[in-house]
Amino acid sequence: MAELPMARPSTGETPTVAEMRYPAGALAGDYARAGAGLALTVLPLAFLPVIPWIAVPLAACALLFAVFAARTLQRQLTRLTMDGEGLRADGPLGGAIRWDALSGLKLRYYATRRGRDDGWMQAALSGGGKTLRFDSNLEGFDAVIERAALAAGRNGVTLTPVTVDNLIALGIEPPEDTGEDDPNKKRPAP
Amino acid sequence: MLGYVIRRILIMIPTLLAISVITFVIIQLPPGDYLTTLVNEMQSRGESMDQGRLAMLRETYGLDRPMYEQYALWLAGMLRGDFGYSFEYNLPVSDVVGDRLSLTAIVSFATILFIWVVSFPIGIYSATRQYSLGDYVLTFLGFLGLATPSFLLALVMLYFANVWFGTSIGGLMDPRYIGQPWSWGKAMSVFEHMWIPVIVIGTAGTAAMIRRLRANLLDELHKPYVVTARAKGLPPGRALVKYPLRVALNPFVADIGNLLPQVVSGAAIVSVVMSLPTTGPMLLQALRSQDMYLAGSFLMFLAVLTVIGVFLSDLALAALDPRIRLSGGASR
Repeated sequence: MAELPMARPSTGETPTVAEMRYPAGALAGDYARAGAGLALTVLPLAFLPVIPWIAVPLAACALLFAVFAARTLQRQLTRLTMDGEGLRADGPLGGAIRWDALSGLKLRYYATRRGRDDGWMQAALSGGGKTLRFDSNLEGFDAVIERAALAAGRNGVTLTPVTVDNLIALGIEPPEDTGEDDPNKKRPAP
Repeated sequence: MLGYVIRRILIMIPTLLAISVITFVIIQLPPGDYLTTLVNEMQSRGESMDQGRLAMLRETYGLDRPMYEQYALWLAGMLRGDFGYSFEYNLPVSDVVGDRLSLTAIVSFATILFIWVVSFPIGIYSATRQYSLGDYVLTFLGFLGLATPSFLLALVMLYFANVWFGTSIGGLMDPRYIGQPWSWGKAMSVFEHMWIPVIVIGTAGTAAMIRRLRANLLDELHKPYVVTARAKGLPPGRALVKYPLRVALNPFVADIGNLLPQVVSGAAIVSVVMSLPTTGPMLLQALRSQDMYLAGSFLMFLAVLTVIGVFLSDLALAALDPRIRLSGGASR
């Protein structure tokens, strides 16, 4: 897996229109995971008289793998477009968020290894009643996050310490003190 | 989060399969099998067994088949709820285990609850009032709990429970309820007897948890961001609960995975001392007599508990602190 590239320093310039998709390699990995999971859970259920104590967790896992496969398909069909106005996702469960309407930015990091390396970032942008979710497998992920962080700063969006730490880890300067936990500073209106 | 759960489950399933292989191989490693042990025992008593009957028994129990075949049959059987046959009891494993699994689960759950309920407030108190009289007393009790062997504590508790409260010594219920179907009276009897094993099994774990939470919380409370939050006028309760306590809980949560099997397997000696009808003593006996399907089923049960416990604690940690470590690198 390639290193997550550090974002370029924030310049505040309006970026040009950029189209982004999930790379085929990342999607193939997720399809393989979904397939392996379905095989490990559905096959015993289909060919063995499994007792309910084992059948229920197996069926629950099979359902999760099926949802994951559907989500991978949704990601494959999704195309994100970013410009100076906002971010747009075309495809199933798509939508659009204008930068000046951005009201939430969450950035989470997940890793399955004990050393917490080889993980991935999960972002959730919300605004105008819509939430767009994508992860660091997306081409140009860091550029989107950089633009979103800038918009969050302009809109006075409160970021959690987890999001701030993850922004710093990406090389993106987080917005100035958002006022959280500061009893002398009023929170911005949602 | 879905991607994380999927990846964790995909790690979990092969792990369980690998554990089942290792468990089966380890049980088979000692020379001979259950019938060899039985013949040796009979010979030591001056008795003998007909070779033809021995071969017939070996064929009946599938002991003459290759190891991989025995393993495949055992694994497929487990999915069907057939955990094999106990040679020692001449009964299916599920019948031998009977109530023991549910009683073990009840005692284990109560013990974990006891550990959390007691250690959480004491750990916070000790950290927020460091070097106070209360901290010293609780620290002393914590060390005492860590240092006292559980079986010794069991003997002492049994004596005092009988002298002071009139509770019958040993067991998890009054003798008249043993082997009887579940009833309100039996449940109350179990409840009445349970507090002694719960305290005995949970004491060491509680003491360890208190020490860990106290140390973690003290580390956090001395960090500059807490001093800054206090200097800015944040109320003490909020300055404690909002971040330091949450961060200090990470190792606490990570320990759930180890707690579950530790409580179940670590209670074996205590169960022998207190005559508890739990799985521990039966596992010990099954391992000694090479009752392979019974021992294998118990070991798989412990492995499943461990894997599920680690899975749950990883999920809780991922939800609690989805933060990148700056020393580690993220990748696509």
